[in-house]
Amino acid sequence: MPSLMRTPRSLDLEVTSRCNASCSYCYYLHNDGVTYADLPTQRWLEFFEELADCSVMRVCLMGGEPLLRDDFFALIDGIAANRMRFSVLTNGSLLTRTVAEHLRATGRCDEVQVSLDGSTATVHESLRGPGTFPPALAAIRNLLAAGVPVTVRVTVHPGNLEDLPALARLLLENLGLPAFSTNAASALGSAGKYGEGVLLTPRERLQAMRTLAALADSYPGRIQASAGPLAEWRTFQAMEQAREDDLPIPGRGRLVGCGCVFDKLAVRADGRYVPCVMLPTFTLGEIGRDSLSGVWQQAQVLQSLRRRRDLALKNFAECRDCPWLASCTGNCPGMAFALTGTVDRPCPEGCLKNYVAQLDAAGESLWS
Amino acid sequence: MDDQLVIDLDSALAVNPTLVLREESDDCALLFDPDNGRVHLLNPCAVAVWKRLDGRLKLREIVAALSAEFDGMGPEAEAQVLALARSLAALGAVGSLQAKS
Repeated sequence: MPSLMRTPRSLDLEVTSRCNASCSYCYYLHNDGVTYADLPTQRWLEFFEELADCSVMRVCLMGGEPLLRDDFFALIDGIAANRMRFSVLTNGSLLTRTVAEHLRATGRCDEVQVSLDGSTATVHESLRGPGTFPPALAAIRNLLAAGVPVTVRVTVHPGNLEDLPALARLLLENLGLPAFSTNAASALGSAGKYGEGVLLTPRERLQAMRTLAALADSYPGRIQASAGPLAEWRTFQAMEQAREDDLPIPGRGRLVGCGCVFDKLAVRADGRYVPCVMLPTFTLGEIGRDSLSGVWQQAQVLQSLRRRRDLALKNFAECRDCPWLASCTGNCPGMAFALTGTVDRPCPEGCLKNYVAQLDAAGESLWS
Repeated sequence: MDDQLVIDLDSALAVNPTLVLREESDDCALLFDPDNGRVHLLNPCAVAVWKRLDGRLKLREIVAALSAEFDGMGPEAEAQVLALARSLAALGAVGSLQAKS
């Protein structure tokens, strides 16, 4: 196990549970871990001082929609005053020129991530709701004009599969963004409850992988993914290559799919520490009441999550006959918990063996 | 902080208060500049020097203090501390509090 640093390097902060959108695949909405109560400004500002005392370097403001907070500028200024950098995840609806200028003026903004799912209002709004496209596009332009680093997150779903090439053109050629990133809805929150038409079928997932892989070839280094179809495509190709070469990918074959618990932590909108926003019911303590360093070093749940890496995949019945076992990470513990009820299992969602079988049943092949 | 700082063993340097010293473990520390996001690794001796750069202590005095604290500090310590101070100055991480004459 890596040696544990004294405090986390960064934190994800859900500064509000409120949102002015109701996207069909929101992991947050309808999530059992969400408590719809926001903390007052002072609680956050005092917490930022504690983060400075702990030499935390970065925070990411998310929600909900963080710009719904009336005190958004006060929070941003509090972060900057405490010698941290920050990023913001937003739907863009409230990101005016004034906001963009304020972010730039801090000199501490790593990036703002705007969600955009389509090259047209029809596509973008199909799952994000009416009227959400123009402000998202305006937000990107406002950030670019102000010189604030901006990235776009595209959530791939059945309704935007055909639009992905046009969306890449819009983002990379017309708007001139250096890059954008992609993921796909998972069976959490709203998508978990209303997955029909939101989650990709095995065949659609394959189409998404191939489309994104081709686009990534056309725009080298400019389409990124840490989850979702493109990330899976790259991972699966590497795993298959390792199997063919009989050279397993080093460090795998265990539940090593998540390193977050070794360098970051999250805080819910109600001030409860959690290991990750994907594990919102795993509360570890409360800001202001429990010290960050104490939670980080002593919370039993965190220690247990860190020991997850000791669990070998060969000990799980579903993995024993898997030809890719030695190169597998077991995938995300948050999704494993959502789908199996425990973090100490491999996650079936990112399982290559499962996926190959699903495609086989659909008359498709990942490798053809 | 000075634009062109001449650093010798009689220099008394102060750290740039914007920078964050992050001691992750006994043998790993980072110097983080929140203005540009850059991170620099510091070894334990460099951390000990950093913590003494208060604008009053001269580098010569810091070397003496470190020699008393750390075993195995040899005659090259002065040159090493001087090199570290110059590297930090080049990064904008330290400067002199004294006004230019």
